Amino acid sequence: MISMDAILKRTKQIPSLSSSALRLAKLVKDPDSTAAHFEATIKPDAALTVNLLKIANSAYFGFSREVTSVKQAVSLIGLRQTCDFAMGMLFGRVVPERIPGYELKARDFWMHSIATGVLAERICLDLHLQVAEVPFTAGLLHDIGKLVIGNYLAESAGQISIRLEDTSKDFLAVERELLGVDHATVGATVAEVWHIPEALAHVCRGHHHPGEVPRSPHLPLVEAVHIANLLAHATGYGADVGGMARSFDEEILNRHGLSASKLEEITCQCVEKIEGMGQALLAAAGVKA
Amino acid sequence: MAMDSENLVVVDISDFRVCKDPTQTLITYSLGSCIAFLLYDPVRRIGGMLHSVLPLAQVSAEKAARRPAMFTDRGVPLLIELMLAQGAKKGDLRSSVIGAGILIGSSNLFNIGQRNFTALRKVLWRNDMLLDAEDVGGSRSRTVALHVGTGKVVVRSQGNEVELI
Repeated sequence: MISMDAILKRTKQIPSLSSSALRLAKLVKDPDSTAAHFEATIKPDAALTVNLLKIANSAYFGFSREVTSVKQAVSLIGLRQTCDFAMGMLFGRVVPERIPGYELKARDFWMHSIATGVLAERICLDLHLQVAEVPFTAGLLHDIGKLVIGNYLAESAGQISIRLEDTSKDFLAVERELLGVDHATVGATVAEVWHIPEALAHVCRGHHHPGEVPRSPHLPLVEAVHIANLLAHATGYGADVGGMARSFDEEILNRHGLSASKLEEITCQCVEKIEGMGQALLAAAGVKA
Repeated sequence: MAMDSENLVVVDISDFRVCKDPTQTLITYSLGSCIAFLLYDPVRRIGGMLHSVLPLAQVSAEKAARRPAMFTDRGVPLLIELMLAQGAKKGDLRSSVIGAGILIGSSNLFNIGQRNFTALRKVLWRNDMLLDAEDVGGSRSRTVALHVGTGKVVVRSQGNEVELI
């Protein structure tokens, strides 16, 4: 069992999301933001600037002329998309090469996060959900708790598959049995330590069981990420040691009028974007396959 | 084991490949609800693998035209066709399917895996074919490899490797 003190200590030891990411999260919500504001936030970070330009010049966009500045990139691909890619790059910096316990390589963890972000964005759009934060960012960050408790989970590695033989049990329940805590709860703590917006902390805490989160205006975003996370697992992005041992809340699907064919349509519309964004981000960051 | 071979041909999500080089191994990773459909002609040593995501192409005509292998009902006939075009004989083909996993508590709403498997069986029925081996369902994710030289199919899931054929 892990104490809250140990979790806090470990959270402070791992790299945290940069302040540029927090500034970008604010900027993207401000209707008065301009390309110049974005450039001013991104430009001091030389590595981020270089990587964003690599992405803007990648096959994913296929522009006929070279993109040479962040401002130009913003005007060509839009504020929102530039921000999504920048957040993806900054998030990648906090992801280690391997996440022990979950048996995840950086690439797979990153792809799962990107997939959840892209799917959450689509779900919010299709269901006309009013949300306080960018759904892509919410999907991107939903599993940050895994970065903290992976080392602890690794100590019980042999127990995971044994406990999952009980097919009625989901992976979150196994984490709770083995560690006394799960990555969703820990993710909310990480979100607070990193000072990321409250809505995103709610997403981290509630993405597996939205019904367990206190009711708040952030519930639609939590539910969107809940569905997105499951679709990402179903499509195989970032399969970890828990496989598909994830449960879902059917009441949420019913309430939003999500039929089987609608879920498949959402997935269909997202697969190519997930692949394209993922490959562009991973290539720019030099992450190994 | 087949999966550690350096001579791997990766079949990406929504894609299919046919291979005649006996030194190569076709592999696809992280099957959740998706399915890997495998064909093998042991006489001519030709192997084929499809990694489809969704059961029915009717969900998007545009995507079905551009990436037919995304859909089980389009990808499976295409793989059969390509195998035959490469010289395989239908009567010699061995087929297997891996994947079609389900989330815990899956009902009719969230059952992409089951729907993929049903779509596959319908296509095989129409093509007068039967499955020789399957490893489907449950809440495990799977990685599968087909060794073209021997026709051996190996499934890796949660750290364990099992030879399916």
